[in-house]
Amino acid sequence: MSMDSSLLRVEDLTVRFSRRGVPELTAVKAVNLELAEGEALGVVGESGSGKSTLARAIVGIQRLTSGTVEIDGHDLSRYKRVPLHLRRKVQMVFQDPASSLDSRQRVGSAVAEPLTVHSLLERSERKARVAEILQMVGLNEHHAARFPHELSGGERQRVAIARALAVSPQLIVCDEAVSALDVSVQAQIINLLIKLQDQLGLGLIFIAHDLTVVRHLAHRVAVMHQGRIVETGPTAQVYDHPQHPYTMALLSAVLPAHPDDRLPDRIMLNTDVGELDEPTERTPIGGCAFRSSCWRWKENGEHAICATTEPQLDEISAHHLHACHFPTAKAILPAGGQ
Amino acid sequence: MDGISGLSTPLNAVEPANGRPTVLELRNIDVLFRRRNQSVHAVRGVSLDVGAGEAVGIVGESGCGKSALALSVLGLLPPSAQVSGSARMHGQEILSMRRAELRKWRGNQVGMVFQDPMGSLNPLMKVGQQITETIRAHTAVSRKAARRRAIELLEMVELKDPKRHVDSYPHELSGGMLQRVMIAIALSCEPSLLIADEPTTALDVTVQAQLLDTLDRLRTSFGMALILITHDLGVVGRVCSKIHVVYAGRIVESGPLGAVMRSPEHPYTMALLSSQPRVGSKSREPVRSIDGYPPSMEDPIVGCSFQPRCIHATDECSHSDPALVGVGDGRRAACIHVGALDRRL
Repeated sequence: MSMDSSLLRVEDLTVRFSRRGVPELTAVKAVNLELAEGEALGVVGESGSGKSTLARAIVGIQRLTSGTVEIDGHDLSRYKRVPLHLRRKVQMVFQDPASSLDSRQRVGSAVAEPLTVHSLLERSERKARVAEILQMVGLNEHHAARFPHELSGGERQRVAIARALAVSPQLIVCDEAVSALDVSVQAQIINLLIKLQDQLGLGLIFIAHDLTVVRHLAHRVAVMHQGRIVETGPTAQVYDHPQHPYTMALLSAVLPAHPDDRLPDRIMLNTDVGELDEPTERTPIGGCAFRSSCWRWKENGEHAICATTEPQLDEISAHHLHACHFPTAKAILPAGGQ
Repeated sequence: MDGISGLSTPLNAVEPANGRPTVLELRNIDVLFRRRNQSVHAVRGVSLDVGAGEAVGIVGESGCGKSALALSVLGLLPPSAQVSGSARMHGQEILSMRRAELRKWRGNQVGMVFQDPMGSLNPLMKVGQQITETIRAHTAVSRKAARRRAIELLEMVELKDPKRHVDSYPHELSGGMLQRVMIAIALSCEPSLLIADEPTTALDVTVQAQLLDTLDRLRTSFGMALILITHDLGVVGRVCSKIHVVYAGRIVESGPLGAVMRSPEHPYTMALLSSQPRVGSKSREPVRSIDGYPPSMEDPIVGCSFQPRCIHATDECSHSDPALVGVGDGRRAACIHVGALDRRL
């Protein structure tokens, strides 16, 4: 990615939660990201990996502890309150449209609301714009008069996307936007996002725990573990030639649902991620945060460096980076699936 | 009803194709929810058999009635639900049992695991107590023996450090660990059938994979039958040997897992399979999707319920309601065009 074409640049982003009497939690730790116009970045990781906090920080609804978020050349982290004309550039779509939409607001008014807030278009022009956006997301003007409860889950998510598109953003951040949908409907929304992006040149950050969905959508992928990006690169590179043991474990846990796909070789984590209940283990002091779960650490003879030095993101090939002291390319997904 | 204990000879033993004795036999189960002026026909004439030790997947999308079906069998639906048909377990009719009888039967014969373990467990009680409570409700054992049994069960479900966690409170455990506790409770009376409703849906993928391994091991070692209810074909594929595909309250296709996945007979199954996102896809490759949305269960369904979304639909499909008919090799499908379709479209 060349520097000048970047739509989003996140540098050294850290978000820390602290409250008296509770151990401090670093939800996002020194994350660097870049996104070009029209590009889709998938962010994968398990619950608690910090991916949602990262999303919120990019959109500006989560205060940063340190670092910068630059959109289209404007550093948002400089502002205490981001001005509206900059906010417009990034919009977000959440997981559950049933709760992110106002149940008493008709679809048309929900989609028009951002236009009002941002004082875009004359009142008279808004109706036409709403109809146009509804059409873009595969709905029609009849939907404008409906209430959210009269719609199916898939239609509601289309409305949420329409609302995000209303102010013509340059970047959309989707946090688990298809996770609550049924498979048959999920596919429609994935395809809609791909189409909209290609049509409008939108940047897309797609946060998900489902690796199969991300494979379809994303040009590039970033794997998060305990607040850090542990591997990132072009989607095909990362999926087919993973370097980090955590990426491999995630890929190995995918249960293929398509009849032509075979089960990947399972990797057993030393401990289930998320099943470490001692907070001291959750944030090991010094060393690699993945160490206690790492299946390769033991295999490799428990290298001392893993316990003492936190691995930094290293470039393995063009734009493919990993944070592991002992990366090994190991194919996890069975070859020849398609 | 007969009031005979589950140990007596089954009255109407049906031998399924695989030769195992039948544990559960459902015939024409119908579930109708009535609310003020509307009614929801959630389950429409479902019949199926579950053999001893067999792992059966019930797959469908949200709102298709798969959970209502399970709850109806367990007698756990609210009074607003009208359940009709016949559900026999070891030959004994369940649907006509009285509440007290049903409660006793449930604990001894069927275990249940739901999606949200945090919502099913009492947050103010140690997990060990919640297991011993169940054990002591169904068997006459001392407190001490029950506790020993609880630790044993936690070991069986492969919870880490069971001796310590028997005294943990639910909030001290992760979602995956809690689900293991739920399974331990479900297994405490050694049921012959375990019903798991979306047991791994709320879990991370690596945790999910390990929990499914555990379930599978337990099924084999207890010789118990498993009904796995899920929307996720990957989960079914990992655990089950038989599958029932449910659409709009009705089984549209069923049969041995491999055969159904490889060569589906019903257009819905075909569409469902081909709309799965694939981990080996090309980047930016659209997913084949099914147009439209599942029907609302509040409106009466005329003709085939899948017809409005079906690419194979003909005029006939909009008025004739296809019956679930045998298509050979232990398979059934409900489509008037069965056998005449080009698969994978």
